[in-house]
This record gives sequence, structure tokens and C-alpha cells, in this order.
Amino acid sequence: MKTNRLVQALGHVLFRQRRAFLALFALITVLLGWSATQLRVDAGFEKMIPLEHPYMKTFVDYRSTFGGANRVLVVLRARDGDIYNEPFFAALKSLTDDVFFLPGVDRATVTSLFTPNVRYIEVVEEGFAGGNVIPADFAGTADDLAEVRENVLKSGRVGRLVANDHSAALVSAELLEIDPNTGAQLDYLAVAAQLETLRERYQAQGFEVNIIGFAKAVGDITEGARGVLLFFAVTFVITALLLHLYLGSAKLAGLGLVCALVPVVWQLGVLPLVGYGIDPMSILVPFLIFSIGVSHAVQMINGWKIEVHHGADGLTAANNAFLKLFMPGATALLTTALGFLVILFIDIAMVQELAITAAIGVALIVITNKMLLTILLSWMPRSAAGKGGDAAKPAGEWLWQRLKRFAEPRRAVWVLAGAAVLLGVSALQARHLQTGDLGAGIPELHDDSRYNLDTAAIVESFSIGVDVLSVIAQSHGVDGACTDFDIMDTLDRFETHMRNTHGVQGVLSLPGMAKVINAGWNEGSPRWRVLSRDPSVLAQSVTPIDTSTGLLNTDCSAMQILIFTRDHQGHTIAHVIEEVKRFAAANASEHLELRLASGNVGVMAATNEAVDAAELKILVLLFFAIGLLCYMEFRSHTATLCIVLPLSIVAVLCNALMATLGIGLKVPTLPVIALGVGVGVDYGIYIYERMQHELRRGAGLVEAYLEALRQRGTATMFTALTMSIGVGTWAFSALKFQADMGVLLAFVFLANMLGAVMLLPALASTMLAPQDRRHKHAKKA
Amino acid sequence: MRARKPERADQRSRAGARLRAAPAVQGIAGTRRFRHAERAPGGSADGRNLPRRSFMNRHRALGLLFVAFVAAMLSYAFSPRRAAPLPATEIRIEQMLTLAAAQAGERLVAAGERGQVFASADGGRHWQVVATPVAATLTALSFADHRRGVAVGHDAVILLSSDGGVSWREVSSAPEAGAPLLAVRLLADGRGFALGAYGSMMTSHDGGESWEEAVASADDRHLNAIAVFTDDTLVLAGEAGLLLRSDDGGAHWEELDSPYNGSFFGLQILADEVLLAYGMRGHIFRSADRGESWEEVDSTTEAALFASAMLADGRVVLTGQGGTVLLGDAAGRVFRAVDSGGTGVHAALLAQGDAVLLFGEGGVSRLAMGGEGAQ
Repeated sequence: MKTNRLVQALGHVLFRQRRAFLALFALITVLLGWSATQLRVDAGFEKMIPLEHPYMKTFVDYRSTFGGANRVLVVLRARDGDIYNEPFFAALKSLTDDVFFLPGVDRATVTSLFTPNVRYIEVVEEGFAGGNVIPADFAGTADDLAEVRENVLKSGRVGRLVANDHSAALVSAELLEIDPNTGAQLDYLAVAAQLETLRERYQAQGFEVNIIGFAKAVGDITEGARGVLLFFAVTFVITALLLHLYLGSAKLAGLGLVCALVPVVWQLGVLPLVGYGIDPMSILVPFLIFSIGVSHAVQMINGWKIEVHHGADGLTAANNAFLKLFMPGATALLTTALGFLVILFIDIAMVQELAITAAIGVALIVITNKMLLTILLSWMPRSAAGKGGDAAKPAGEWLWQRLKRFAEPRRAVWVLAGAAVLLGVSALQARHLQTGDLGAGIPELHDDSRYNLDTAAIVESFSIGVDVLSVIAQSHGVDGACTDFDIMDTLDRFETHMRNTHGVQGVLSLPGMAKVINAGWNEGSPRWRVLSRDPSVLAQSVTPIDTSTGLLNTDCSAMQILIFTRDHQGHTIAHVIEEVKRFAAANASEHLELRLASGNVGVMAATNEAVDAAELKILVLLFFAIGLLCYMEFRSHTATLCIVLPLSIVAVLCNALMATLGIGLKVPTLPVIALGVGVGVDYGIYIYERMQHELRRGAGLVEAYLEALRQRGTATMFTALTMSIGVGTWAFSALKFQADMGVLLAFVFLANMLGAVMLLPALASTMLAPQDRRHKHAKKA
Repeated sequence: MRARKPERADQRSRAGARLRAAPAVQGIAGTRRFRHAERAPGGSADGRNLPRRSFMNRHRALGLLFVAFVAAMLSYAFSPRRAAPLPATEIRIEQMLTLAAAQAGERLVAAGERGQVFASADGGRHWQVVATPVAATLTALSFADHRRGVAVGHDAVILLSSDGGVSWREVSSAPEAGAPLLAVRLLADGRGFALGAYGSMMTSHDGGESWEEAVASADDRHLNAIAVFTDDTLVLAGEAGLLLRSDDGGAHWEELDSPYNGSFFGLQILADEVLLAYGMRGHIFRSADRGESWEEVDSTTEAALFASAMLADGRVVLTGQGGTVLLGDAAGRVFRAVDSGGTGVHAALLAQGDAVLLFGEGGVSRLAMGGEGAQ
């Protein structure tokens, strides 16, 4: 009652001063709109990782020491036959030059058959002999090509610079993020664009070109994120059309759209004020805000229309609609915002920003929808509501008459039975859900994206792994760990252990390389592939290994062991990590510490663990929070259960769908349930609120439900549909995680709507238990 | 108007009556409002409901059952998941560098990196790990018969097996000397020769049970290989063209005139007592007179050669760096390269009829040599 009075007072002020409020809202929109233009794209790598995770602390600690991951590989592939022909070598030479002159390239690191840093060394009777793989007088004759082929074999670069089947050769280069001369930040997008022109040039010459590297990936991801703008336009147009069709009035439709766009502008304007930028994940928030805005606008406009049909004028109708819808609407929005805020428990900055920006956006809708929209509606002529309402009613009535049966006890049993079966099957299927990315290549892009196809082609023909887990071996209190036999021997055992671990493809470590070099000092005999106990001999084996390999730091107090995994599926990563931990525990020493983890697989391992740890916490909090809010609103266990149970069933369905579609539980998909439930709870709240109202007025459940459908049903179904379409467009995004989120959110929105119109009445009919009152009646009698 | 006192009692009773759905069930808080609704004029027809009382109670129970079922399914669906675990870590031959291989009766034995020994009972298709007491890399194996064999390696370890390679015990080692043993031969009469770096040599006279240091050469060049003729003439080959021969069963050694200044990695005796010495850069030398005189044979390769074996029909197979495999005729005069399909180093090989098993990086591979003679 108290709240009702508060709402009345608020409405009183609002409509008395409606011009002033309108001016205020307009001013805010202009100011925040200006602020929104200051928005910067902020796709920092660090935002995507759980920085608080111990693995990521290792990652951050050693990032500057063992950088070197910023490499670009350009593969030139002969369409048929091998590379040993004159045109191929001419093209490879010119490609090497092109890469040399790319912006940001550290020119000393450019490596191809044509660069002077690629030499072959052979053991000869007198010691070592060597030379450039491609001799200075190379002219492309048959003899020259035969000699180059010999040298390639001697150089040991097969699999690294030349494909294992000699059908391709590559040019590799490291990029410098900061230009050493100018100090300017490297423009990755420019590099990516230039790489793409290189691809076109050499493909025109009849070669196949594969390009991978961080710069190219950043370019492709940014390109993909730009596509989202197009989706926004598509969503807007579709929503506008549907809205017009549904409301039957261009004016009302325009009003709805404006009031859904205003919170988007406000939200984007608030971001720079709170110091946030926009990234490929939070770029999706405006969609959500827009859709939620439309959804609540439709409820409000619908409420207004009903009032007008009952004979009120524009202002009175707006006032009444405001009074009727403020509480359920505000509750629904508050619940939605709470659902979003629950995601804060995922310890990843990007997700937390998503949670906060989405929650801010939703909170803003309370103002734009409940206040701005009603003010605007108060100026609407009655004619705007006229024909649209009448035309829509019969069509809806047909459906409502069918839907109301879900509230009949006998039918409800079947609905519940059906829901139970569906839930049981889904729960079984949901057990197959896996954590982590399930595809090959980089998880941001689709498996069949150009970048990932290039990756697959390179991995297949070269001995180059792209999924790498790096373990840091930090020595303590040892002077020159590289020449300490005990430490090196332990690491050699570690390498052996990891090489024999299932899911590991290969291991690269300092001891492993030192062993090969030791054999080199002994005429290449493999029987000498060991670590010497003699520090000076060991030093001889380690010295030729440069820090640029990323296997050791300058004083060799820290070494990096690179473990190449077969794939980056969650259970592969978990197994490999477990084996590392097992070895580290069995070989604990005060002189040597094995620290997990870096490399892309190390990041994924940390992320997977963070996601796993967050999942249950989020769900429990989510349902607890919305349950509590529902209880506070309705003061009824039954109402709470009727609203929350369908949502929880949909959560299981969502997991089952993910398992079925092969979508892993990962950073972008973890918030889906929370987002979906946060939004989906609106449907239940709007419908139950109306139903409760009718019940209090003395209607039977079926009649109460029918009335609720009549008043709120169209709006509920319509909004679920428009929202599903809005997020469904993401399915076509070039970014895999956006597509995954789009599909899942669309499903969750629709499923929650169905839950609200089918399961909610069925639950109410069993649990509101009319026999109770009869029972009391009987006792009394 | 919302929460009135009697509701508390309702809630308490509900807890006790969860699934029994006894008539005492007072119901959930929503009830209260229903009573309101029912008192209002035009409430639903009670008369119609009365005969269906038991149905309604059942109905009610179903509702509670449903709630319980959802709760159970939720806790099942969201309880921690664990994907099928990957097989436990085990040492696999394909992940280890194997440097030596030998046949002990029906059993094949291979040894290499970090003291690992593997045994196969099915001709080399499957290999099992055999426990050894050492972690030093093993470089050579030799069996005197189907039971007794030795393995030698770094830290100058010598391991002895008397059960065909199933179990091994350490009989000698010198980790601090820094001179690995690189070749070994255990003869049926109980004599054993183990040779290694810097001209080191150990001999045994009791079937490998005890070993003592011996001297074969005056300098410190590595000794890499040993060959034993049927008449007990012994030949050693080593670093920088070193060739040694003993005509008195190993008591005295004389240095032979070497045809080559590079290192020899192996020796192979063919039919008719022809001796091949091979090594760096694909060099193969052939002697028909126990090392008195040598002629160079064209190997067609510049890759270092590390190991050899004689096929059942007398032809010879040599193998080495970069996946090199050479097939030579029975006389050891003509060689041709055979594509082994790999580029890793082959450090040892075993003849199996017309085929060979290649050992080295990346486990064991079988390569058929075909029936035709080398051209």
C-alpha cells in the first residue's frame, strides 16, 4: 500500500510537470549523446582474461621476459607440385622483401629461405661447415634448385620454414608493438590490411597464401565486430516493422522505438563517464538494452491503449497505465538488472564491464520507459489507439482461448508431465556440456573463417603448433640454473613426462634443445643427446641457445617450457594441467619452482577454471536474487515458484542445447543464462501480476489467467519475438562468440516466454490449490 | 493486507507434509488470497469440485512432486561435470628416443633416453615399458643368448639381464667420470666388451656379472663400435678414423691404417667375412681382409650413418640421419637409398626377415625391403 501511494505521488508530480520533465530528458539525451561520441574502442587483451587467477599472475609476471608471441607467418604454397621451381622462388624472394617492409616488423627477425639468418650447418670431418640455404649466386637453374633442396634438408628447417611435404614455404616475422624510433603504438589494423593485400597479390600469381599471427587475428576480429553495426540496423528495421504491425499506428511505433533508443544513447553516453570503452563483447549490450526497451515500451503502450479503449483520454490513460505498470515494470527491470549484476562474479574484466554496462542500461530504462514514455503518451490523441487495438483483439482472443486451458487442472497435469520429461532428458544431455572452446583455431572466430582455415592448413603441413601451454621454471638461489645439472635434469624429466602425457603433441624446452646441441658437438651422434653432468660441457650446450627462442631469460634464472597440446578442448587442457601439477608436486624443491601457466592454452586453462568456479555461484545467486525479489513483490511462495521454476527449467534446457550444438561453456556463453533469466523473468512478473490482480478481484484461476493474457499476453509474446530476432541476428556474426551468444539468447528468450504462458498457469493451477479453500469451507460447515 | 498471522502456521505444516499431500496440507501462501477470491460474489462453483476432492489432492501432490523433481534435476544438471578423463600418463616408445635394439629369443628389446627399456613380444608392434634401476640414457644393447644380455650407456652404467630383458640390474657405473659407454658386445663364452668415450673400455669374463677397466688404444678418441668375426678376430671403430684390431680375443690391440679421417659410427660383418665400416657424411668403407685394406663404396648420401643390420638373405641395411635408409647388396658393394617416409634420426635397427624395424626419434617403424636385390 505504501508503495502504491508512492507511485501515485510520483505520477502526480510527473504528469503535472510533464513539460519540465520532457525538457529535462531531452537535455540529458543531448548531453549523453555528446558524451557517447567520446566512446573509444577498447579491446584490450587483459580484459579478456581472469587477471586474479594464479596462472594469469604468472602470465603477467613473465610477459615481458618471454614475449615473442607477436609473430606473423605468411605461407606461400604451390598449387601443385613442390616448391623447387623458378617461379616459386622468385615469388618467395619478393614476398620476403614485402614482409620485410611491413610496418612494425622487427627486420632482424624476418626469416625465410632467402634471409641470411637461415643457414645450414653440417658436421664435416674437420668440424662444422655451413652456408646460406640459398647460395648467393642462385639463378634458379635446375642445378641451383637441387642444391637448395639439399641445403634445406641439411638446415633442419623442414617443418618450420618449408612444409613437411615440400609443397610450401613460409616467411616469419616478429612485430614490435612500440615503434623503437617514433615510440608510436603499432596499428595492428593497418598491418592486417597490408597482409591482406599481400595475399591478393600472390594469389593472383597462382599461389595459395595462408596468413596467421596476432596482428591478423586482431584485424579479423575487429572486422567481424564492425559487422555488428549492420546487425543493429537490421534489428532496428525488423523491430520497427513488427512494432508498426502490432501497434497499428506509426505514431505509437515511433514512440516505442524512440523510447527504446533513448536508453541506448544514455547507456553509451554513460560509458565514457565511468571510464569504460566498448569491446567486441559489450558491443552487444546496446542490442539488449534496445530490445528490453522495446519490450517494456510495448507493455506500456499496450496498457495505455487498453485504458483508452475503456474510454479514458490520452492523459488519463497515460496516468492509469503508469500507475498500473510502474510496479511490475520496475520490479521486472530491477530483477533484470540484478540478473545482469550476478555476472559480476565472473572474475574477468570484460564480463564485469558487460554486467555493469547492461545493468546501467536496464536501470535507465526505468526512467525512459516509465517516465519519458508515459509523458509522451499523455500527448497522444485517442485516435492513435483506435483501430489498432480492435483489429488485434480478435486475433489474440483466438490464441488466448487456447492458452487459458493451461490453467485448467486436468490439462496442467499433462503440461507438468511434459515439462518433467523434457527437463529429465535435458538434464541428462546437459551433463555433456563441456567447459572451454570446442573448435579448432582461435575461439573468437568461426572454425570455417579464413583465419582458422589458414591455421589448419599451416598446422597440417608444417610442424608448427598453435595451441601452446607454457610453464615457467623459476630457479631460486641458484647461480646459472642452465648449467646446474640437477635443475636441467629435473626439467628434462619434466619434458619427458609431459611428452608422454595424452593430449600433448610435443614439448619444447631448454634441456631438450641443449641435448640436441650436445649431440651436435659430438659429430651429430644421437647417442650423445644427453645433458652433461659437467657444468662447462653443459654450458657449451646451452650457450648457443638465444633468449629470442623464448626458452630462457638473460641470466637463465627462469626458463620456459612450451607444451604443444593436441587441441584446446576443455578436458584436454584440464588433463595436461593436472599432469603438470602432479609432476610439480612430486618434484617440489626449494631451488626450482614450476609455475603455471602462460601461452594461449594457459590463458584458456585459467579462463576455464574461472568459468567452472563461477557457474554454480552465478546460478545459485541468480535464482536466489530473483526469487527474493519475486517474493517481495508478490509476498507468495506460489507466485515465486510459478515464476522461478520455468526459468530454472529453461536454464537446464539452455545447457542441454549448448551440449547438443557443441557450444562450450566459456566466457561469452556463461552470462547467457543470467542474461536470459534476467530478461525472461519480466514475462512471468507481468503475467502473474495481472493474474494476481484478477484473483484478488475474485476471478477463478482460468478467468484470471485469460484476463492476464488479454492485457499482457500480446505484449509478452511480441517482445519475446522481437528480442529473439534482435539477438538472433548475431547468429550471422563473423565472431563465433557473438554467434553463440545470439543463438543461445534467442532460444532462452523464446523458451522463457513459452514457460511464462504455458508452465506458469499450469503450475499455478496445481499449487494455488483451490481445494484448500474448499477444505476450509468444509471444516467450517 | 498481505501477510496475516495465520499464514505462519500454514507454512510450518507445509514442510512436514511435503509429498504425502495429506488433507492437513494447508498450502502455500497464495492460499490466503484464494480465500478472498472465493468469498467474493461469483466465485467458482464449489459444488462441481466437491466430488473430485481426492483428485484435487492428488493433483496437489503432483504439483509438489513436480517441484521436488525440478529441484532434483537442477542439482543433477548443474552439479560439477567431469568429461571422460584421458588415459593416464605412461611412457610410450613413440615419445622417446631409442638408441639401441636387440633380439633376445622371441622377444625384442629396445633401450634409449633416460634409461628407458622397452620389450615387445609380438615382433615390434606393441612395446611395454621394462623397469630399470637407472635414469641415464642407454646407448647400446647386446644379448649373448636368449636370456643373458647387457645394456650400457651414460654415467658408464652397465645393466645386466638374465631373463631375456624382462628385468635389469645395475652391475657397474661411474657417473662422475663423464665418459659414457657407447657400444657393447656380450659373447656366448662369457666374455664382454663395453667401449665408450675417450677411448674407455671395460671387459668382463663372467657373462657380464663383473667388469674391469681395460685399455685398447693409446689415445683418447671415442670408441663407437665393435665387430666380432667368427674366428674371434675383434675390430673396434671410433672417432676420427680410429680402427683397432685384436687377434688374441681382446688381450692386445693394434691400430689399423685408416682410409678415412672422419668418425666411424658402426661396423657390419657380411657374408664371406666382408667388413663394412661406416660413419660421418655417408662414408662407407669395405674390407675383405679383416681391415688390412679398405675401399670406399658409393653410399649415394651425405647423411651420417649410425646403424646397420643384415637381412635374412644377406643384404645389408644402413640407416642414419634425416630418415636415411640405404639398402646394399650381400657383397656390400652397391647401395641405394630407400624412402623411409620420415625425416627423424634412426639410431638403431633390427632385421626381421625381409623387413627392418627402425628405431630412433618417434618410436619404431617397420620398413619392408622387398624381395628384389639391390641394383
